[in-house]
Amino acid sequence: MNPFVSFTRKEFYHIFRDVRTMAILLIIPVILIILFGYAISTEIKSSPLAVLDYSRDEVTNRLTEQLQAGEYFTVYRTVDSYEEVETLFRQGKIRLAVVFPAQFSSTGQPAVQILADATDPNEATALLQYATAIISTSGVAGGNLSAEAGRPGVVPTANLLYNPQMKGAYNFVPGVMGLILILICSMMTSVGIVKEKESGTMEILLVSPLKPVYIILAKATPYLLLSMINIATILLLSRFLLDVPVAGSMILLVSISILYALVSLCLGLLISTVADTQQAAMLISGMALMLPVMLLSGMIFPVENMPWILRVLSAIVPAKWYIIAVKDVMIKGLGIEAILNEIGVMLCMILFLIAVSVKRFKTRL
Amino acid sequence: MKILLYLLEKECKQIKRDRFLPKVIFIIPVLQLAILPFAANFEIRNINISIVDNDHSVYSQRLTEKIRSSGYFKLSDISLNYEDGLASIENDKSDILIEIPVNFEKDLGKEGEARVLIAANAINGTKGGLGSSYLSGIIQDFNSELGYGFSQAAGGIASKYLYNPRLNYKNYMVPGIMVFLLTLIGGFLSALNIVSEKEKGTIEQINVTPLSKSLFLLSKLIPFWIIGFILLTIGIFIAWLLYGLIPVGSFGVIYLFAAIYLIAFTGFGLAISSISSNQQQAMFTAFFFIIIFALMSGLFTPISSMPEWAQWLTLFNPLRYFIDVMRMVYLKGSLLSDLSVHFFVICLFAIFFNVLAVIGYRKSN
Amino acid sequence: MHVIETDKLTKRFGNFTAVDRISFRVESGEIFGFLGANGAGKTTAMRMLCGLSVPTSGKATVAGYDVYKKSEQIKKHIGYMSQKFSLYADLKVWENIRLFGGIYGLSEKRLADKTDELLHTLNLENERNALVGSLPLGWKQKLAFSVAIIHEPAIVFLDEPTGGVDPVTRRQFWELIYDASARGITVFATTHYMDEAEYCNRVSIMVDGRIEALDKPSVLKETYHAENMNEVFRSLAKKATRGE
Repeated sequence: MNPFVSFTRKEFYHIFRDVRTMAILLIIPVILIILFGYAISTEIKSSPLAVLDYSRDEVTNRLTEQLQAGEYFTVYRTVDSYEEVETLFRQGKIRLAVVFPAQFSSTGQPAVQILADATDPNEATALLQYATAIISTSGVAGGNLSAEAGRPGVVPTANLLYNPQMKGAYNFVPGVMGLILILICSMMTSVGIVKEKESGTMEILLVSPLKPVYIILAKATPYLLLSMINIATILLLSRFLLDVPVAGSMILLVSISILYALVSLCLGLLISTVADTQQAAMLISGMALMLPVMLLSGMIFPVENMPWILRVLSAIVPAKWYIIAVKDVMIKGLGIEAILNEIGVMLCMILFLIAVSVKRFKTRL
Repeated sequence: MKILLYLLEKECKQIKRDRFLPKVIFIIPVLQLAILPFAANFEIRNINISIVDNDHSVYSQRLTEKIRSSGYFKLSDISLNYEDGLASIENDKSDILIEIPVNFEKDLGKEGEARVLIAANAINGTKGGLGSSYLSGIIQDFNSELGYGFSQAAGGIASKYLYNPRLNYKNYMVPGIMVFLLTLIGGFLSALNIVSEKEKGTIEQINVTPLSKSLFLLSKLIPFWIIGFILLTIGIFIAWLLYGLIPVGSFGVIYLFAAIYLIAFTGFGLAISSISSNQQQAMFTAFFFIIIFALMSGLFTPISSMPEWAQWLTLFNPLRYFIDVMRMVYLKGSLLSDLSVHFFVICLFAIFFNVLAVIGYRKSN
Repeated sequence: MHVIETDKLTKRFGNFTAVDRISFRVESGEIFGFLGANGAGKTTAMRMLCGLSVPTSGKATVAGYDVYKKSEQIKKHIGYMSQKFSLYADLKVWENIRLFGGIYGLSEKRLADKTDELLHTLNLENERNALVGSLPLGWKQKLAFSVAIIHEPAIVFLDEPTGGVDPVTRRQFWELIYDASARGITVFATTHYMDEAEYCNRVSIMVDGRIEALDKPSVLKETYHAENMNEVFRSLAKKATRGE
């Protein structure tokens, strides 16, 4: 038999025999899609609120009811003092407190007070805005209102493009793809190779008549296959579970995925030439690859808000380019001419990584 | 107990001699605390906005000016019509557009109501959502300046942000990231520890001695426990140095919780290590749980935004409790008495994971 | 008194019977050779006796303790040296000695004496502070053996103790074994080398998980009409059906 084929087969056995690792690798994309799709959002849902009412009359009761009625707040408790409000904040039981001063209804003075727990600034901003909106449009306000108060003024209609339900799927599906490919291709490959180095079997392989490049290829093939299975899983889930179909060309999408997988493999290879122990390989790929992918690729956090250093840094994260390309093809349905730039960058990365790892590989032996 | 000292001596020397570990233990927290808070930032500034002004009136210009000076938006272009604005979004030049209709000023004066259209690129749900909500806020301001809606003149609404008055998102992230760090380092290192002794074969020589399982595990747990404390202390120092962040609450509470949390999470790692047969397996098992724990902990996205089933699941997530505690103690100065439930639950986790580790570790098969 | 006694001791992994109803006894103070081809089940049998592996069926006692119920008691009275070198490579020579001496509960004073004595016997005084991983294989093996008997156990189990070592070192190793035996430690050793089998008081030969022969080397040679143990072994191992 062709030595390359038999060697590749050996690698397959190695990987597929470890049932638990296999299971985890196949389940991770499913879990990630489900978590990102259904569990994780930044949408503000019902938050607990305390009402401190010194007036206790019809007007404040109605305002309290209106706050409770909307989807954003549930009145956790009506309290009697500021101290109580503070304790509830400190215990993390409430996010917002609304204070109606005495004689609020008759004079409208002093103002209604809204206190927000700004530990999480975004949530606080949004909640405060919602509460303000509810109170100001309630049509209930005490005291001497100006004549115009009953009229709404400028009313915005918000329209969300590409992603009307704001599910975020359009954003995270490409991100999850980028993450999984790095996870399998870089992390598994580097750990796999270093494991052979650690146990000394790598030397046996290197003295075999098989050329090193074939050894590496044989090692990489199963991971490449595995990552393609994962990509397929993700695309199927996103199509049928999240209703995010592939708008552009499927072939193009698969091609750029393979390209990116190759970049990841090269990264894994490079790591394996640096690390001596599996622990080291894992920590390097975990800290130097996984975290940047999660953080700098725009998967969870928008890159635009980061300081310029990080934006520059994000340019060397391959996942960033891949995710841009996937978004263009998968969501916007653009053709290859729109992503030439990204393809070029990834190709350059491959060349660079191969050059460096071959050099390192040779000097070590 | 004397035996424990011999074992600890061994563990400490091994960690000290590791070429890699001591560096990782010190470099990673510094790097992560320096980078993560900037990257993990939902503070949305510099949203590129395209303004389509069809009215060219005093009011429409006043609104435009108000948007520009808000600090949230950067004017990318003034488009002639809606289609131009849309094209600018499609090319990623703008994130959001606002169209002010013809007769805007006239309608506002006559009817007391005028509509504007907001369209946001919602591929990034957070940015689209927050952008349009900022815009709505500006419009609300605009309204009340003109005397529409809930008027300022009537006393209006006074709002106050507590605990983080400047709405600094980093203040929110930094305490959480410290917990994440402890989890990463403690979880991964301990997960790889016992299994690496299995791979090297040294565990055989231990298993054939009368050494008790719990004592052996304890000798693994204590060093990681101490490393955790060192890490936490470095973290607290960096938080002060880089972000000027000092806990409002007491250090005692922080360290007390850290002590128990570390026992819990090191136990988690050791349990994984005990039931794994090789490092790769241990690594992916740990990775699997840690990524779920992290995403479901409220670290990146608020738990209150999750659907009910997911919120229920977070009850079984040790990370969630400690992140809560750190944020509350750091920003709100919560007392131990406010956190008694958290304390109790983390203790349960500590017992659970360590019992699991002792059961999972087998001296014979 | 018999320090090891087994009765139909068996270990199965799924359908595969690694050790098939072996019964034998080892006398106190004996040097007992446990021979067999690769895959014959020697290591598995030994691991059961050391409490590293739970038998599937059969009975066995080691140092008077039952292997099922009292495996932790057994561990107090045995030493073990595994096939794969298993001292800590990233600890120094004296640190390894100290660790295992400590685990077996030697006093600080005794530990210090023992360390000096051991380094002297092994001629490793200059390597006291060397990392164990940096030592040549032969030295490692001798060190591993000495550490295995640091607590003066009743029995020491040696799994291929001299694998991959040169003849001179092997010779020295057997001197260490004789010393230990002279101090009353029962030695239970597996080996590949048939010349080593001749050094044993008695040997057993395992084929396909069963003990096919057990006696003094001289008796075995007579029974099988062989010149040396090598021939004895070959005539028995021919029956093997199990591959590697």
